[in-house]
Amino acid sequence: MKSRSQAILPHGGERVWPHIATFAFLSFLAALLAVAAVAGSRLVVDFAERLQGSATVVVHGAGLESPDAAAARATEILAGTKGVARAWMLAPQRADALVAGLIDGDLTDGRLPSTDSAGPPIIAVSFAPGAATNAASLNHLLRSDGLTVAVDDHRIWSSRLWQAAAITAAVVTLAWLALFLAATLVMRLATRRVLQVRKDLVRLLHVSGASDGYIAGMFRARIGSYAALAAFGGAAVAVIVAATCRYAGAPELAWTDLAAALCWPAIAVAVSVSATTGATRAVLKLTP
Amino acid sequence: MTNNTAALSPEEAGLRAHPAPIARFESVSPNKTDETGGSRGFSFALAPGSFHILTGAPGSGKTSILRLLCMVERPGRGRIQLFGRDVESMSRTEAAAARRRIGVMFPDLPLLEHLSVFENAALVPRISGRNRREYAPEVVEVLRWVGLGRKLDEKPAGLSTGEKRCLAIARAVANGPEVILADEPTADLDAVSTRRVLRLLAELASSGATVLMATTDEGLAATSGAQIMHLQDGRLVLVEPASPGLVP
Repeated sequence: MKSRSQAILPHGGERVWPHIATFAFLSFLAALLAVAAVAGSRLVVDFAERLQGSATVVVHGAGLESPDAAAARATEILAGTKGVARAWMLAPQRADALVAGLIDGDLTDGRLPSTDSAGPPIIAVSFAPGAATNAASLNHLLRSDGLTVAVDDHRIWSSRLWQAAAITAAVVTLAWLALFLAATLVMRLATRRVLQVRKDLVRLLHVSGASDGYIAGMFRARIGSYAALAAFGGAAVAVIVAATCRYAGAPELAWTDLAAALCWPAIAVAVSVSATTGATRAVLKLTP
Repeated sequence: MTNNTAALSPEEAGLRAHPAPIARFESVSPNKTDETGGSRGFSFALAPGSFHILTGAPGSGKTSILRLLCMVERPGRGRIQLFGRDVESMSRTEAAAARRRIGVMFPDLPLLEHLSVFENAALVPRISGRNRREYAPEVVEVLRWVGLGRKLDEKPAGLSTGEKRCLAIARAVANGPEVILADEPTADLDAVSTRRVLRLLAELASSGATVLMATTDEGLAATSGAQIMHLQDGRLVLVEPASPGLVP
């Protein structure tokens, strides 16, 4: 007589590998989506914070004063303004690159001078944290000094960015919900399949006095172990894919973002436990 | 089977003699529609420590009675009391607990081929949540009693038909049930194995368990010495034992 009990539920012969493979694929998608969502969220927050505390000032020459001279004067004024942490003139190439996307291609014929800038000088301004200074006050200040400027308030961009992020978050949440429901359905089907294959054993246990909880627990442990393996497998592949993307040229993806993939196996096991318990009890309820 | 027979009412079947029967059927019919030939259903009581053999032609309702007794079927009509409780009033948890007090040997309940002889016999103590150290000696003793003491680690596939039947008995009695239900336990067995199975069931009855066995072999029932209940034309008929047979 062996000293340890053998599993009452036999191994193998259940033919649930299609269900488990599907569950692994769903796990892969869910884990990859988690990584993308965390990375995207981090980038949005980071970018929005940068936008929130900054503005750009486009300076035009007026009268005898050249655009560059006017920009130098404006930079000096801005640097001495209370609430402005830093003001600096962008290099011409960078300024041109910044406005290139905003200028209609038909007007410029898609070409901008590479050395002598054709565009107006641009001053970047970063506000001191908590400062009451804003784009409107800077506009008023510079115009009162006789400068012709256009101050771009980045908070407008920031709000649009948040709107886009909210829509993306909603889509990601819906996609996760769909994956969650699909995973639940797959696990329910897998449980029903195993119960069908093991119906003689279930009848034996039922007649022998095993409670519904005992029988459900046995199947929960078995299906749960399959689900855990599939979920870890799917999440591992997602991590590998994300890491490959990071190496291949997606520096926006932080290594810490990959940790998001690890939350899925825990959720998957919970999905499996819930689905298996529900499916088993539904089948057992049909017995007297 | 016509000698010494009488239609059973609950009182006649032992209620007076045993005021606290283990099980009592009152006008029970397996189905809602009356399939008992117009009678009022089956009525009988099983006293503690009694050995009854249920006989009748195939399809007469023997298996249904056993399945009703272990609550894997619900009666269409009538009332069943088990261990002093109305089975209809039992919750699922209570019904499961009651089933653990019943040992069953049904032909459609398989031995678990992937488990050893010992693990098969230990199934009910195990699902009852008992400690392995506590039940292991009892299970080994039961397996020795049925003659499988030397085959504890063998798989059922390596056993003869008679040995498999003995293992089924061991599984049914390993947790010390108060009631043992055996449906055709001697079917397909040779004469030696048949006598052996019958002797084991009789010993269980003499040790205090209530045994109800169903068989189509009326000759076997007649020589067993057990109380015979014969199902005929939808009626339950009491047949006095022809000989003391195996029952002490």
